[in-house]
Amino acid sequence: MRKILLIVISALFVQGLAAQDEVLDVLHDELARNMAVLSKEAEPAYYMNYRVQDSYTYTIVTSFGNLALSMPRHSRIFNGMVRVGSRQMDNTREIKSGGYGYGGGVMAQQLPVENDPLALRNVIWEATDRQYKESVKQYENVKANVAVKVEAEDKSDDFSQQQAETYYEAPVDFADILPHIEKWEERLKKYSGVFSDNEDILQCSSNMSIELVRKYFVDTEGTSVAENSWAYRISVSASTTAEDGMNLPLYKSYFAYDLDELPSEGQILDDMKQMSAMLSALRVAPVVEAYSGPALMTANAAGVFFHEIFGHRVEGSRLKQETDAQTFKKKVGETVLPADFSIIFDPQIKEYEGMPLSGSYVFDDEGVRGRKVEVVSGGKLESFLMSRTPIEGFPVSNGHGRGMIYMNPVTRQSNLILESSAPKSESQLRAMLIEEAKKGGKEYAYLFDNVAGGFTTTGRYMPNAFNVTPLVVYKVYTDGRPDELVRGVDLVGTPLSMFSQIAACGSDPDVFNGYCGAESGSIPVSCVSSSLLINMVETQKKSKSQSQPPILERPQAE
Amino acid sequence: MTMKAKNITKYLLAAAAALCVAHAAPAQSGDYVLDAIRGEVDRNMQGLRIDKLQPPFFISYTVADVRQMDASASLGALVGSNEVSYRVGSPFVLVGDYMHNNSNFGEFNVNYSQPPFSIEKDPVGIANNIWNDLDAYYKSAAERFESKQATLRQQKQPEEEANLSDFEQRDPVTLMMEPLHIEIDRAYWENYVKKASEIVRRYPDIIDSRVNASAREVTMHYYNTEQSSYAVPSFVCSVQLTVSAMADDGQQISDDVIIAEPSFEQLPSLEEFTAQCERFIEDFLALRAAPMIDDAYCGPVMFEGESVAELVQQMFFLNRSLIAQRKPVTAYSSSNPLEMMMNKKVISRSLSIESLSGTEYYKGRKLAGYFPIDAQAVAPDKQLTLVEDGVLRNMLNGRIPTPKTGGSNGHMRLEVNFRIPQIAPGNVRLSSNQPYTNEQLRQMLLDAAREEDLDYGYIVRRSDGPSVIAIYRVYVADGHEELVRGAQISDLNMRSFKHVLGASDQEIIYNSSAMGNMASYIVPDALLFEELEVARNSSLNLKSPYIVERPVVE
Repeated sequence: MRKILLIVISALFVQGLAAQDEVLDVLHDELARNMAVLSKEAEPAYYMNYRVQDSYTYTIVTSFGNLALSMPRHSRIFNGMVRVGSRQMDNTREIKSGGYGYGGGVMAQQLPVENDPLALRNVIWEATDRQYKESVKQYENVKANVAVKVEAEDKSDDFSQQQAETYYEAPVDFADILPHIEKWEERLKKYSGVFSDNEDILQCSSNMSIELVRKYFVDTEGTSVAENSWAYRISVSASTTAEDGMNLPLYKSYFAYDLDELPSEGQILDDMKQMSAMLSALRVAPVVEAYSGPALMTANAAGVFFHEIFGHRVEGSRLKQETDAQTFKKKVGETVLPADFSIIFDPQIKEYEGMPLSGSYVFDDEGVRGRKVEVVSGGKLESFLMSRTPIEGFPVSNGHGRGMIYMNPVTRQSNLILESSAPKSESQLRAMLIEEAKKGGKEYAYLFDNVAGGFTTTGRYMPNAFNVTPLVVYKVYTDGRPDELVRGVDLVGTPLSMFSQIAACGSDPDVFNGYCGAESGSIPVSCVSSSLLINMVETQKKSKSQSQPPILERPQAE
Repeated sequence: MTMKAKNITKYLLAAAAALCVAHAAPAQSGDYVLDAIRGEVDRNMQGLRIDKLQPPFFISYTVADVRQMDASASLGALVGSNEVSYRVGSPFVLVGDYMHNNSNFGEFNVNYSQPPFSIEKDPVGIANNIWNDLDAYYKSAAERFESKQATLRQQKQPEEEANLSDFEQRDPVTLMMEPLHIEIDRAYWENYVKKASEIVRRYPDIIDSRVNASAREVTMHYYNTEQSSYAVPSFVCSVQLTVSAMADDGQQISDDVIIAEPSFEQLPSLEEFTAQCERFIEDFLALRAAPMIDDAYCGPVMFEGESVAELVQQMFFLNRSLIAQRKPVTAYSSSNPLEMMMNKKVISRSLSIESLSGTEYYKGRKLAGYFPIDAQAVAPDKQLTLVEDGVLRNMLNGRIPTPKTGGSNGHMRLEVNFRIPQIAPGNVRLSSNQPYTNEQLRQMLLDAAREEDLDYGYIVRRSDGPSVIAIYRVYVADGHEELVRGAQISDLNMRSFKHVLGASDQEIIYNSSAMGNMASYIVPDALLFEELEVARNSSLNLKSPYIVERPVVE
């Protein structure tokens, strides 16, 4: 495989190269042509942008050592935005008591994958017309809503002013990053084939996704971006069912920007064997009851935990919604975490201590350069993640307006990095855990070793709570007995009380690369954290299927 | 999506087929998928037991081997092109016995996930999915059987229903056909759609357009514990042009031309399709420029060409009038009320409807709706009368008997999603015992309009299911035609077929996949209704004109 060099060069030369990009040329021309007319309408458009996502993917799926799918796909999707009104108040404003305001995805259209200017422009023109009319209608609704409802608490503008930027990367040929497919089909078959030897495993799959995305963004303020990203993702899942019907899945995923960065075949096979053995152990592990007390989270679990309970509450556009609980909105400058804790979000870095991060990008989906944001420093809340939807005190974006191509971007997370200036070793954390348990008169504490993900609600109408789904949980006994694998608990709680219970951070950073789903769709993010000691967590019994395990054994080769 | 074609000349299903009644299927069929199904179904038949619950007495499983190609283009540029192979499994388990079992107990929603299905020649890989499906299906079936019995103990069923078996027993059949292995030249079809779509560049009034080409080869592998088994391939391919535009008054109109055939050779050449598309676009643009219908009408209406077939499909099959439906025990849904009209007049005595699903050729032409065996291992009749001289005689059915239809006539079909079968037609023929020439029918239309003191009658030439696309006024005074836009026929239903003045002596064959599977409709080229109401479509939503000029290339 040839190495691809990211080409980021001077503005003058960039313009020369960009002029040869037919898609970019069409976007510029059509944007200017439409804006020239729509900005002179009775309800003029004051801002427009166009986005295109040109995606090449190759997907391989195997199960129990058998190939199930091997398929390339190439698609080009167009979306964009037309704003009417003014920066102070436009069609995107929240409609109070009336839903979510600005409807997203009106413009998303399939574009030809070939660079025929007329074919491209025809789709863009038609979608722009529909979007403009929809924006005008929505703006009328906004004006009526503002007239009849109480004044907004947050009086910031609806759209921030940003510095226009030009950025151009030369296109990348998918063939240059595509590995030898047959070879990888065989590898993937080996990975899922590991589970064939374990009769406890009821379902398994190993997937590989190779994706090259070229994102285009142009707007009427002069920003022009053509940015490539490509990645290799392997995800393996397997599950068993306990005698009581509880479905027990485990997942393992690998992410890399370069094929050579993926773990070796031998290492992944070892991981699969461990996963298979763990599933068999989980199947017979005892089910535990609800619990409150101290717990230790391994680094992997802690990353997801912080993404859910903290990350979603520092997303700026969410804090503007009057339906949102706005947990942190008035807490800037206040201590929200232990004094040795810091949290940054940084889309500019592609790795952390050698571990690749999947939440990286140069420009966000609003054409703003992704910037490093120190959200918590010395335990104090310093800032928020911002898109181009301002909130009071934070009038501009820091490049965190993100969304799938089908959706309008909102503020979303990138690479979350939790660090401590006073990290503890693993043995120190464990000693602190046991001491805390003893202090509370507990026979044991919990160790959350692996999680599937989680969810959180940040609104006002439902309890402002979170749920993290542990997959591997141990009881850590205070009397020195060996740790005991258990099953059947979810980690639940409310954010503010949970933050006050975080006691210490480890020195074993790990990364969770995954996808986050929210208002603007599913986007890649990553969470870096070390192990965390929490003085008080709450668990509840996990919901489970009422179905018995399979009656017959899984088919085996004779 | 509807697939339709007038011309079927030959068919490529070259496999030698032999449908035979067999007392026992061979242990090894030579078809590794079928052998894997047989092995795993038999293992499950022996082993699926839950304490205190009934074991299965009937299991079937189908594996659909699918190879699919799709290519699309707009204005000469490729929009997408994909080719994929995959497998889908369809389980079926009955608990109890043929007389009393878990079927016919309302909607059957088994909440089971299907893990990725092996596409390899690995019996264990295939068996894994079958095992997973049958386990979940059996548990649900066994539970539902108990629930159904409990419900029945609290109900008094009418005698004619109580005496009906829940599932019909059939003799075993075996049908082994060779796979087709049709070569799909994707590059050719990519070029085809690009070239065909290029012609739309000449028509700036067409706002959006797309040319699609698709091909799908499927081999169904089936086995049941009655020892029926089959391996049956099928192939369908199509080309389609879809266009949309906006009339000057803001009405958005769209239409498509689809040609679906059972072999690539039967599809039009690029030149033929391009010429057909040009004619179609000219007609479409004439519709765009036509005046909006401005008055209400009640009088004779004639349907012509494909619109007759669309109408027959909609009124008798898409709305399930001629499809049997047993009344479920827990009745949120009901039986088909038309069944109570069995042996009574339901449409004009001049019309008959027959199912020809087991007929391969009609007047020397291969029928795309032909299938040799259905998803329950029942071969459809070569000829099955549904309506005879206006009198209802039968309905399409599967193996759940209904009071008036008896058992299966081989119409349970799996092609919709390869997972859940449904009763659907194959080949259908509507004919008249009093045919007229098209000229006579046109004169009859004018005479009937004159009799009603109308200035004109109506001819429908293009429709999309119940919606009228192209409707023409034919003036009584001089016979000239005027195309109008925005019409709907508000009172069109199956009863409308009771008042048919005449049908054409010419027949057309129209292929459709509107019900998810291929069907061929053999219908008169024209059908004249005595009285229908035509008025402006009340749901029309007129749009404001485009603000920015449509882009053009300098």
